[in-house]
Amino acid sequence: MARKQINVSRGTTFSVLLAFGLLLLLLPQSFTSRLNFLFAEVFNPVLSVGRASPEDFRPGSSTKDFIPRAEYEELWKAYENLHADLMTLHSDYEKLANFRKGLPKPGPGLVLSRVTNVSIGPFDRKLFIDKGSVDGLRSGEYVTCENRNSIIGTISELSESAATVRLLTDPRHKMEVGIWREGKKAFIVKGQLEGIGKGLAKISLISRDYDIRKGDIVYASAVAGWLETPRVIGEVFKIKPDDNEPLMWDITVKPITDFAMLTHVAVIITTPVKSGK
Amino acid sequence: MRWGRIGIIILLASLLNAGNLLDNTIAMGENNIKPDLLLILMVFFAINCGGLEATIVSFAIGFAADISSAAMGPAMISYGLFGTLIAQLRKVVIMKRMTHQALAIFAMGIIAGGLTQILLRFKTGQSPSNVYSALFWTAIYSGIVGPLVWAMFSAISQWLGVRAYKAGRPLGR
Repeated sequence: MARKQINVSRGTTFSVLLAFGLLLLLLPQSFTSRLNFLFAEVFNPVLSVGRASPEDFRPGSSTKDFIPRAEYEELWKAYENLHADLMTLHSDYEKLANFRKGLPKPGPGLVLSRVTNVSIGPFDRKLFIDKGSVDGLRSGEYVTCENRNSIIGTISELSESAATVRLLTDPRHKMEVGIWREGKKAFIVKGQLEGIGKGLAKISLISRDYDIRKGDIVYASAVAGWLETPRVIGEVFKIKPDDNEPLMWDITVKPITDFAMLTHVAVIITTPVKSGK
Repeated sequence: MRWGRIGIIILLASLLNAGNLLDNTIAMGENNIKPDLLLILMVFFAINCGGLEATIVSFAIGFAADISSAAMGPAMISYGLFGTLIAQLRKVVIMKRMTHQALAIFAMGIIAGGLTQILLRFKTGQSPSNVYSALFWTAIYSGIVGPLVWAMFSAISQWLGVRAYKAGRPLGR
């Protein structure tokens, strides 16, 4: 069967394709991001090839990777004691959860999600998780690592069954934080944390009048309706006077969580605001 | 042009760009800078394809770059525009030397990558804080790796149905 030859001029083709590109650009991100999620879901097995996992890490051969037997046993005992404490707390938590069920306002809940893929690139640092809007997730919600030790980022994009978590170190990510030091009763100062890639984030525009030192703890500030209490995110890794604003500090923050190793995360879901209308 | 085969190559390049394989093998520095394979592919096809084909492939590569990254539209417009422009320039400049290829890829990394970031900011309202350094180093790395990838695609140009230029004369048919 003879093929039908379609003659389309180059100018027409260019115009049509450019118009299609402009249409995609002008359509809302919440609508077009479905295509990005579709790609990520369909090709997830291929995209995950080469992803580092906790199993990939074996004890090193260097002597500094080992500790004396006596110290090991001390640490082991401390670990076991902590484990026992954890079991007790877990039991208490289960009892409290039964009480909480009967309360009229349950407060923020957690949605446990599996990390399906990690994207660590020069322009973005994000996780793909297997929970989406049907599970009650909303854009901007805080995400903690599995054991609820620290905040790792916030929900940025959503589909019905998946979402992306923009990590603290993502160059587009911003978050209100506070800096605290052991022994102090309150935060030394509050500021805005901004990711800079490289596995680090920065707090800028903090006056040098504040006594901030390397090793000070950085917390995600409590935000009404989103995060009830401050949660740790990392520590001050480097501090120096700002090159552009000599009266300000240039504070570099290192998160305590290794994002590439995460297999599960928990999303702190916000309490839905009931409309009075 | 073998459109099906070119489609497979574009898909493979977008999977490599978006996946973790390159992150843990050839990505460099704390920013995980890696060569932009789709950018190299765009310059290669724009130089070696005819006008209409170069336009279609450039837009298709831009679409693949968009769908495998953060937002739809920016790369499609940027790659489509500059791919078509390169296809026009190929009548004047033939990239037979590796240095020419590397420079063309570097320049496109800065210009097309820059326009992509501007359009991305327009669409999402956000811009990476490290955009200049990330663009520059990605363009440098792409420029260095580009000629090697170029040589690889030149070797399979007949399979792709593309007339790859070498020393001023087209290869193959």
